[in-house]
Formats: sequence, C-alpha cells, structure tokens
Amino acid sequence: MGNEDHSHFSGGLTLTENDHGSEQSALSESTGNEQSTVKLRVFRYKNLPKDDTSAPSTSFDTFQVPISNGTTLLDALIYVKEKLDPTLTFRYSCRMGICGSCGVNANGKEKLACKTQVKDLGENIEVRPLNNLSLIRDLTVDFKPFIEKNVKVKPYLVRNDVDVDGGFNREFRQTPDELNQYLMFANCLMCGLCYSACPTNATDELYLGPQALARAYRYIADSRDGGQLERIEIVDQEHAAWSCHFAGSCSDVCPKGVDPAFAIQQLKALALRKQGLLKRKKPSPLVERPRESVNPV
Amino acid sequence: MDAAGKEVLKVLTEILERKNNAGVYRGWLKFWNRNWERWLYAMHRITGVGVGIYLVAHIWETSYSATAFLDVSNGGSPVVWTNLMSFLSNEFFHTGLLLVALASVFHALNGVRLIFAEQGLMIGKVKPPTFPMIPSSLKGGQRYFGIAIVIISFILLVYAFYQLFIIGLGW
Amino acid sequence: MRQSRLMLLQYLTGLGILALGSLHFALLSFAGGGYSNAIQFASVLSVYTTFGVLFELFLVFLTWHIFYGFRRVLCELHQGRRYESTVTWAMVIIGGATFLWGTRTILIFLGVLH
Repeated sequence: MGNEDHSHFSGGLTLTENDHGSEQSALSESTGNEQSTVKLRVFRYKNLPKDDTSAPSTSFDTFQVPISNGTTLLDALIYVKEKLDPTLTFRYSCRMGICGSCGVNANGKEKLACKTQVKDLGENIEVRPLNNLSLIRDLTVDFKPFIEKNVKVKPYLVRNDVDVDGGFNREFRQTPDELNQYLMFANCLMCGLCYSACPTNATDELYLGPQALARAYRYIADSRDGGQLERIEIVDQEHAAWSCHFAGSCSDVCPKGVDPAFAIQQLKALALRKQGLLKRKKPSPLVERPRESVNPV
Repeated sequence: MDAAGKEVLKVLTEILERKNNAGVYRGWLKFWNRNWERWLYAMHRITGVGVGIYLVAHIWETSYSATAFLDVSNGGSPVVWTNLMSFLSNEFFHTGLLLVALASVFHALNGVRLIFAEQGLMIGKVKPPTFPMIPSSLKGGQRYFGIAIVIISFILLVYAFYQLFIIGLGW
Repeated sequence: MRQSRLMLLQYLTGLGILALGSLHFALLSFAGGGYSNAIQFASVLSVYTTFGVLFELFLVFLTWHIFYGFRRVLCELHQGRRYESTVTWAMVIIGGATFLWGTRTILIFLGVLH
C-alpha cells in the first residue's frame, strides 16, 4: 500500500471531524469544497460476437466529470455512467473497500476505485482495466484464471487426521499468537490488484500470482492446518513461488495491507531450507466441547 | 524452414498480441511509477541479460589469447592478442566495459540482497493487521540494502573509470 | 526436479561467481598492476597458468548461472510445453558450446591441448 493511501484515509478522518465541529469550520470546509472538473480518460473495449472476425476495437473516451472533496474514482465512474454514457461498463458492489470488485488501473497504478480520491490523481486521469486478465468489456475483466489459480493451492484447512465432513461440530484450538501468524493474509479481498501489478504475471500466464501464493502461505502458517506438505509441493514448481523475483509491487498496491511479497519469500524459505519445520508441524488439536449453536447433532 | 519460421512467427505474434497482458514493456521494464523494489527488479533483469551476453562474447574474445599462446609456443609472437587488444582499446569499447562493470557489480550485490530476501531475511516480521498497514517486506532492511547497492555500484564505477580510461587509455 | 533445488544451484553459482569474479576484477586492476598492464600477453599467460583450475570453476559457475537465468527469462516470456523444451535444449546447446570453447582456452594454456 502506497503512502498516498494513508493520506486519503487520514484526510477522510479530518473531514469527518470538521463536519462534527463548529459551524465556522463547517463553513470553511464548504468553501474549500468548491466543485472543479477533471478529465477522465477511460479505456473502452467492446467484445464482438463470435462470428465477427474483425479485430475487437479498443479506444479511449474522455469525459469531463465535476468533483468535490471526497469524490472517489468510483463516484466519478458512476457519474459518467448515469449522466454521460450509460454504456460504460465496470464492476462495483460495496463502495467501501470491502468487496474488492472495483479494481482499476488509474494513471498506471492499480487502485480500488472506491478507495481512491479523485483529487489525489490530478486533473487528467487515465483509467484502464486491470492488466493480465482478459477483457470482457470496458473496465471489466475476466477473473476466471485468477480464481482457478486460487483453487489450485487448496485454500481451505486440510486435515488428514480428523474427518471434517458431514456433521462435524468441533473447533480447532488456536491461540491469539497463532492467529496473528496468518491474520494479515486472511484479509485478502481477491480484488486482483496484485495480479495486475505483478511483472511476472505480465508475461507468464501459468504463474500462480501473488494472491494464490499468499493464500497458500496463509494456510501453511495456520496452526489448524495439516496440508503444508501438499501445498509446498504445489508452490515449489516452475511458474509458482520461484517465478517471483521480489519486485514487491503486489504489496505496494494491496488496498488491505496484505503483504504477498512477504508471504512468497516465506514460501521460498520453507521450500528451500525449512523443510524440517514443515515436516514437524502438527495441526492443532480439537476443542473437546462440541460447537452447540452452529451444528447441533 | 517454413514450419520453424511459422512457429517463431506464431510465438512472436502471441507475445505481441497477448490480450490485455501488461507484456514486456509495461510489465518488466516500466518501473518509474512503481515502488523501489520494482526498480531493482527491472535493473536486475536488464543487467543480468546484458552481462550474460557480454560474458559469452568475452569467452569468445579471450579464446584469441589461446591462439596467441599457440603461436608463441611455435616460436612466433602473440600478435593476434596484441592486435585484438589494440583494436578494443578505444573510447567506444571502454565505455561498454564501464557499463559492464557497473552492471555486474549491481547484479552481484543485488543478487545477494535477493538471496537474503527470498530466504525470509531482511524483510521484516509478520504482524497483526493494524493501521497504518504498511507492508513489512517493503520497509525492511532489504530496502536500505538496495539503496546501499546502488551507491556502492557507482563508487566502484568511479574506480572502473580510473582503471579503464585513465590507466587504460591514458587520458 | 523441484524448483528449489535448481534455485539453490543458482544461488551457489551466483555466490561462487561473486567470489571468483572479485578475484578476476582484482587481477585486472590493482593486483595486475593496472588495466593496461593486465591485458599484456605476459600477464594473461601468468594469470592462466597460475589460476587455470579456478578459471575452469569460474567458467562452470558462469555458464550454469547465465544460461539457467536466460532460460528463466525466456520461459517467463512465453509458455507452452513445446516452447519450453525448445528453450531448454537451445540453452543446453549454446551453453555447452560456450563452456567447451572456454575450456579449450584454459586447456591450451595448461598445455593439455596443442
């Protein structure tokens, strides 16, 4: 996460404080809130029907969008769709950085549109879809390969010692310290920004990508998991952990402070010199009392 | 020939026309709007390929000293080697050598940094996700090591300049 | 082979090149009496006859490190089973030829080849 992201956040906080402050400060806030316009240069792509063999058209459309303090890039895109061009296509859902659907490439850097203040991007903003995933239309990309790669690393608890199927109603023990070993990586939204920023993904279509590898580490570092050897087998191959060359852009663009670069380097260390640690790891034991409220047998 | 040519053409067009992938230029080489480690990544790749190609040429170049050695042991003089060296002793080739020296020092030291980082050292420790969530891998010791590498490379560049231009070319 | 074994080789050859390459640079500059002295045929001869075996080791490390590196870069450029095996074989052949040509130079200096 870049430094500018923090300034958005702190800027937002100051604004809220001012809103609740005296009328004088609210007034000065509104004078600073004068509307201005930005030029939004948006990438357009139209998918052609299957029988049409002509090359699909890509272009850029420029829109003048009025903004004020607090206008996010997503607000600007919604403004374009509502007022200027209803055919503009982009994904979004929660508008507050939780769902991870509105990832775009703004001025060459991946951002969640809903978490990005337009004022921080300057007056001319170029909005492109995320890289490295095939286009569907305009700013919408196809996440299928991304999801498939996530599934490849077994993103679930693997327990070979207990039967967790069916009416399983027990919990596994975990201390807060053990939780902190992976909690950061569990914050991943799967928004695809890291996948788009990664230079290896830019040319290597088989590379698992920062998200899937960080997910693999998240489960390996989980004290309740027993599938570490299977997972390390998957990531210790070509087009996996070792195709990462520590460019760090994944961690740089992550909107949730997940550190995929850290996770991938840990995977390499585990694969190369900490094999013993993996072999010795015992998944944590069951809590004796059954979970009553969730799954009464 | 035709089949091989078509295959090469197919590979090239696929590389060039890959749909929406950032590709070599925007993915590998365009680092200036990115983080510091991305800069080092691009440089490591460029210097690696550059020095690699140079060293293959260098092995071919130094094989002329063996020819000269054979001449000397047959009672001749090492004229092949002397001619080659005087052909290569000019500003153009020495500027190339200067770049090779810079690139190889950078590639070597950055390689050491990568070995450390890839083994989980100098990239900080895992911490609970608390605000502000600055990734530990991008503010660990490796970042300062990276800065030090660039400084050391340029200091040694000055020494290489002294050897190649002041001693080598007699400036 | 597991990728980590190959990368371990890449690490070790890299460190070997760092050590032997530093020696090589030293011989070309302050230890060789300056660059213009170091490229004289007499200096080259003495370096090869003194460090011949180390040079061979240097060559082994270099060819592995360079051509495995090239292979990684090329395999990240494009994917496909046929492409990757072509790249691997091309690297083996070009790398092998480079290694043999460098070895020839060293063996001639050591008096093994005439």
